[in-house]
Amino acid sequence: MSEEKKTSWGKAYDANIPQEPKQAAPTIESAAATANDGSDADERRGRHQHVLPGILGKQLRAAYGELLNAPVPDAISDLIKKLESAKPGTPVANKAADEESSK
Amino acid sequence: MSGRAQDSTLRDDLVAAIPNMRAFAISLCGNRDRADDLVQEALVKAWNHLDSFEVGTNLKAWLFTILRNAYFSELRKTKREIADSEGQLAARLSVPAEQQGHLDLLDLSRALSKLPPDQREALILVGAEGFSYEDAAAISGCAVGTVKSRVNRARSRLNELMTAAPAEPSGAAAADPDGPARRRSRTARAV
Repeated sequence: MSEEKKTSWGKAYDANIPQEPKQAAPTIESAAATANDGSDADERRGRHQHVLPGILGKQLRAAYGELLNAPVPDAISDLIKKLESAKPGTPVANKAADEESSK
Repeated sequence: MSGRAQDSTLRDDLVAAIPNMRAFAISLCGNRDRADDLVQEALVKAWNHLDSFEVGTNLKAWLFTILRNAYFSELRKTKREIADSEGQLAARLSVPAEQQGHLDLLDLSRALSKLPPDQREALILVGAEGFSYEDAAAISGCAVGTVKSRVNRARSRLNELMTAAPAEPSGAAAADPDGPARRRSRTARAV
């Protein structure tokens, strides 16, 4: 059995995954199944969408909806353009992270 | 589908997920500027590791995992949460002030900012973003039962916070001291 830590979507994407409690194998399988089965996922999503019933749930979804509809800042749009123009396979630096680390 | 077309679709999907990533990041850290930095950090990581993503699986869940890992890594480093006391969720609300329930929304965002990060994460993933418990568990790197427990605790804590004695009144709330309290009670009953 491979010792590589895997996510529910396949290969490990990053060696710096925070060490949190390990997930049980059935959960990983069910998560993968959810991702591959649209109708089942929708059904479950609909059910869990109302984990907060009543006014509080509506408020939470309304507030979150406002965030979803907010325009994407120029900095992120610029980053996407930069990423798209980068050569495939060339690692792109993160300006925000660079600034953060230089502090 | 050819590899190039597949890459193009994947990148389009990644860009399409940016609003969700921002909403999640703002909800997590409570600071819009920091949230944008987190989104950028996550986008760069995702872009540089696109070959690690298994096509056909849940891209949004993958992106959210990268984002939340970046957030919690930073949280562990700083040992403190950088939070806006009023909550950026409140600041982003565009509900007109005269609309009934506006004060409830502000109360909700303040209450959300007082939840422990792991409970807030679980509540946002399942209750607002609409992930299944299984997907939320995969994103958070914990068991499904843990996510359910966190959601339940978050819901109970929110209920407590929303029914607690109101903070120092100000503005319109001060002019109508009974209003927020009454609305708060209605919210509590509804939950």
